[in-house]
Amino acid sequence: MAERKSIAATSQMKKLMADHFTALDAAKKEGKPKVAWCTSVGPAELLHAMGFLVYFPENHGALLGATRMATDFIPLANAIGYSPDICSYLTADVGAYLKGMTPLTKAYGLEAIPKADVLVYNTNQCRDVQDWFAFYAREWNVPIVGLHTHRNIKAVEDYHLGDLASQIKAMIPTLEQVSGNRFDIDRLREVVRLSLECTKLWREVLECGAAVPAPLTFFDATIHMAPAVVLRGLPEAVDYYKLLLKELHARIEEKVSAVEGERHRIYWDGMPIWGKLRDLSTLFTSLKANIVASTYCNSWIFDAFDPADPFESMAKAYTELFIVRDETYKEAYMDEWIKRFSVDGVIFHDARTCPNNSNSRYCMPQRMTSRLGVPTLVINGDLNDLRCYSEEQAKTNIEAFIEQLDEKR
Amino acid sequence: MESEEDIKMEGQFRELIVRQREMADEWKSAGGKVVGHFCNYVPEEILHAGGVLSIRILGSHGHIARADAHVQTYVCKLIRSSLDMGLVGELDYLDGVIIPYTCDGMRLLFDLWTKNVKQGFVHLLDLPLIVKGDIGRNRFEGAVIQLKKSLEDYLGKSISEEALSISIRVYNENRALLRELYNLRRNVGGMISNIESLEAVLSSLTSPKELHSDLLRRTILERSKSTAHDEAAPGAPMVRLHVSGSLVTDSRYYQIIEDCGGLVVSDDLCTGTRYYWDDVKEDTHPLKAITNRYLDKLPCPCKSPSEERYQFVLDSLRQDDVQGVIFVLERYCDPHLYDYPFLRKKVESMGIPVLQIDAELGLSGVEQLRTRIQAFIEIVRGG
Repeated sequence: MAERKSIAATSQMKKLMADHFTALDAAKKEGKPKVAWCTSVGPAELLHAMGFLVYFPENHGALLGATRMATDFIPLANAIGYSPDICSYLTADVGAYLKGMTPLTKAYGLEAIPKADVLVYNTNQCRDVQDWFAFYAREWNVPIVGLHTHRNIKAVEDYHLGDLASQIKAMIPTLEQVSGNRFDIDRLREVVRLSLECTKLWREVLECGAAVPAPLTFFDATIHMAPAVVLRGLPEAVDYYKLLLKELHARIEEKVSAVEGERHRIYWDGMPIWGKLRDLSTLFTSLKANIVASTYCNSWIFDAFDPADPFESMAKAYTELFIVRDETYKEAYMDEWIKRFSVDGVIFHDARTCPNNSNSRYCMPQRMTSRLGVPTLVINGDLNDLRCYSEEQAKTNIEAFIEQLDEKR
Repeated sequence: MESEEDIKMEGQFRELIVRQREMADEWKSAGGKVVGHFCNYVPEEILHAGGVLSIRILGSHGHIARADAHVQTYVCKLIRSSLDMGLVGELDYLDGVIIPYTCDGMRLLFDLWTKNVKQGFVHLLDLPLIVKGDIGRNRFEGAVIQLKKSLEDYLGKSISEEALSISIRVYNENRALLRELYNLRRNVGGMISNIESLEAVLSSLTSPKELHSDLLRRTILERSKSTAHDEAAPGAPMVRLHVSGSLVTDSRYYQIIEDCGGLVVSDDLCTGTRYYWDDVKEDTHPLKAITNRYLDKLPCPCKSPSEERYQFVLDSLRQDDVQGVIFVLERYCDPHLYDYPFLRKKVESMGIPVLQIDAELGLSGVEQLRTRIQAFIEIVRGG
């Protein structure tokens, strides 16, 4: 079986993640520090600065998907009234909660997910996260606070940032009350500085994919993004990406390809299909195609962080993101990555339960092909609910797409 | 028995719905503009003050011809069918469209509309998700000012405070009459049919308000008279139901409910109470009062917090002696679908049975639905 080249730093990352979950578990047992739940593109910097340990339910959602436990748990959420058509991170997570099970038990020895002392969301990725967190807020009777980011933004304006910065500041009294700690601006500056450093390094990791042949794949990035998501703002994430970059730079130097005999370079738009990462990786590797860039993994690049102006810069970082922009910006953004990464085909994953991350729904592929002349393929699937994914159909489509790229060469 | 006069009156709201296009054309012939909009969060008073006839776009019940080439079938039918209407030219008579950021699907429709449907005035109205507190209020105030300014630029004239005040009164009057009709329906069972009360709201969404208010006034007067004549309503008592959901635009849902012995006495629908429950204050600065009304109104599930809405539903159930709740949930309407499990639990905890129906605007599978509703009403009756 064709396998992509493995990355040695992975073992260090696994250790970091184990430490992260063990610390959360210990905090719940001891009652301190308090645990905040945060959406993956939420204001984690503020939470770290306030002394919380931060838990990311989307990371748990992805784990449920990757372990394929999601498909067993989603029906439990459906049974209490959640439609099978809504976010399968939510339905998998709520289903797992109702069942009293978590993949964290097998992976890290946790008996249960760490219960939240406060729930903090940002709707920049979707408004659905508010509903997801509201379930737990009711269940545990704990406070919920959120940021409502502007959407469909053409150019980021001062009023977008002013509004969001005010919303971030307005969270502080609740967070002070729950954490028992006073807000300290210097501590926030330090966390923002570390987040900035982390995000710069993460960008550098992803940009390694521009090298021909590419030293990493999308499938590596979906694993190695974990520190950028759950540990940003902490020194461990910075140290980790320095280690990973060293390995990737050495590969570029030696022209080591992640996919042996790389013939095609693909851009992936949309969510990963968590339960099928390994199978898809093997398929693409066997076809000598490398997914060298993606919209999804770029979601944790926050160029705007600035320790000198933490609130405004956090607001800017969360507002500049691809997902909150209008179609014109999104298209220009993707065009740039496609050109810079010498991409010769684009695959859009239309995730059935994730409209916000499914850019194919509004005719983007057709416009892209006519604009750039680059072939596109839309795969129907889902991030977690494998009932929405037809493996054989997807495989046939991908193989035919690669053949089409072969003919174009 | 309904008198001939009653039947004639009942048909008049329907006639307004049928004549929607004709009325819009007449408006345009008289030199006015006609602008379409979505959802309950577009301050129509501003359009009215600018001499614009505002038309609520409610999608269609038919098959999709062209929109499926642009959006997947698992986007809500309101978005798909409305886009379709735009693409095939059914909405060409509109001079513009206002799309509010109520849910993510609606927001994405804006991009698609601007790229594929040519319209004069296309505006995305920003809305805060969190409607309580100064931050959301300031944001929405800015959006309302921006809407007014963009509209003024488009119309080439300014909209005065005086005109806004007049429009506020016109809209408040219409809302008050709709509430009166609603209360008559709640208090005097059978006085107004389910269908007529639905059509009264649907026609209000697309007709000139003054004309509509006039018809409402006459209907209420007429019905009050006929009820005084006919105090003893014959037949078995109808089962008192509450309908919860987003849009009900196909009156056949209500026809089936009525056929099966149900009476919809209350609702929380975008084509119901959520549209007309709250007034704009008339004693303050008009634009501010408009801003406040739309933020403080009975919230849609796409807004947070939801407690006020839950309370409204639960109060309705208590006050109206509701015996059963029918949730008409549009498929792929995420805000409602997320909200449903929690609200259902609350309703069931009051000992009130619940039926959930998946809808896609127009009714399909009539007999199947009839069987479900029939069975539900039997359960409610304890049979």
